[in-house]
Amino acid sequence: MDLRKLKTLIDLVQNSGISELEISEGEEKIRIAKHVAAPAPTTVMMSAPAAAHAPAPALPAEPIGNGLPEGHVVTAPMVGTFYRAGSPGAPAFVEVGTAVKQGATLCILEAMKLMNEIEADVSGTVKAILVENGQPVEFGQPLFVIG
Amino acid sequence: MPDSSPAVLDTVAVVAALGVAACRFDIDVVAECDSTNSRLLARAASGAASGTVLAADAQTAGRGRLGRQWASAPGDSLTFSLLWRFPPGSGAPAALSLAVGLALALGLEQLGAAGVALKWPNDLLYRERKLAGVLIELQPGDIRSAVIGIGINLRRPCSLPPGVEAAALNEALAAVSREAVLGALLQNLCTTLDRYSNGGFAALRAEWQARHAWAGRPVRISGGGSDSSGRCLGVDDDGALLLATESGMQRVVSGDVSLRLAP
Repeated sequence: MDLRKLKTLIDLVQNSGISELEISEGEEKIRIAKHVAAPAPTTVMMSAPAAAHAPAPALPAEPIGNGLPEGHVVTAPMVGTFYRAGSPGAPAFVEVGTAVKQGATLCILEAMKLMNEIEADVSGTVKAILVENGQPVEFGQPLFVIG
Repeated sequence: MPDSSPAVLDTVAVVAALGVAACRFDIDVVAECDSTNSRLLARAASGAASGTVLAADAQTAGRGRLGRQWASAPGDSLTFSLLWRFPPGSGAPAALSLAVGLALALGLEQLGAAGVALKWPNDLLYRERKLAGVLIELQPGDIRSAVIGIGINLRRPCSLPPGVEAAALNEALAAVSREAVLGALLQNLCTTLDRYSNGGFAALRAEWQARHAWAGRPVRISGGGSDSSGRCLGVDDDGALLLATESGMQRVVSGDVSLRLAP
């Protein structure tokens, strides 16, 4: 995607009432999110669909050095595809803001039909969901922040 | 229905069919339950031993991958789940689906069935139709403990949903009791999973490839992040499917494989 087009899209988001815009075009995917409290009005994150990580959603909490909200990071114990619900069309196990108890199911990782339900290893509130449904994840990749 | 309703599986006959491998298993049979995987996962969480088997004559809420339903009527199929715990220190048993598929094929061959083929990652086919399916769920919080759910069609049900093409064991094999089938499958699961534990999937790869249903065929991969298509080359040492695409060799670890019709 060329920079002029990118700028047009940024301006579009900046001058509109929408807080987030996501566009897929061939191999490229772009997501623009407006941070209400941040000094810069917009941030841009790009990723190819096959990339190991998906862009983080706009976060209400104040970001720290690595851009994640403060809290306990739940990581992937194996390589696989990330699923937020038990079956297509079912409600997601958790959303940002969901209060979870230790042992609550957060997501399912699947690789070669091996299903691995990932549980919260601490109690708290889901502060961030760092991967999009259906995306591949690597071993050790952060999936959730629980604060 | 012409047949009278079959009796509950006879555990004594299963143990007899298992022979020396019987000491590795603890077999429990129920007439009906919601899902043998769900029940066994609950037992696993409260400390059930490796080798615990739960078989059901009918499942009311049998599950396939990602919540797809698994149709099972008493007597028409054999459905059971097996809890297997891998030794401490091992990683997630990533290629377990393939190892289980191979074990099932070896078990059916031991009974005399020929022509059973494997579809990546874990389906058994007979004449290109599905004969058996596997759903493996790791015990939450313990990636070394797996509940392996297996459903195998023994005979074709009178009615199948439209579009479902299924095969049944009675096409490949003369009359054989469900107990003999379960015994042969468990025996081969035991030996194959021990080999997988010791040598990883690399130790089983050649035998898997020899039964690969779609070797060299054009296939499409859907789901699991992105779609792609190419020629099915076989499997890697870790169980990943190898696909020859226009842009080179691709490794696939997730998604569904379907045959692509020739243009």
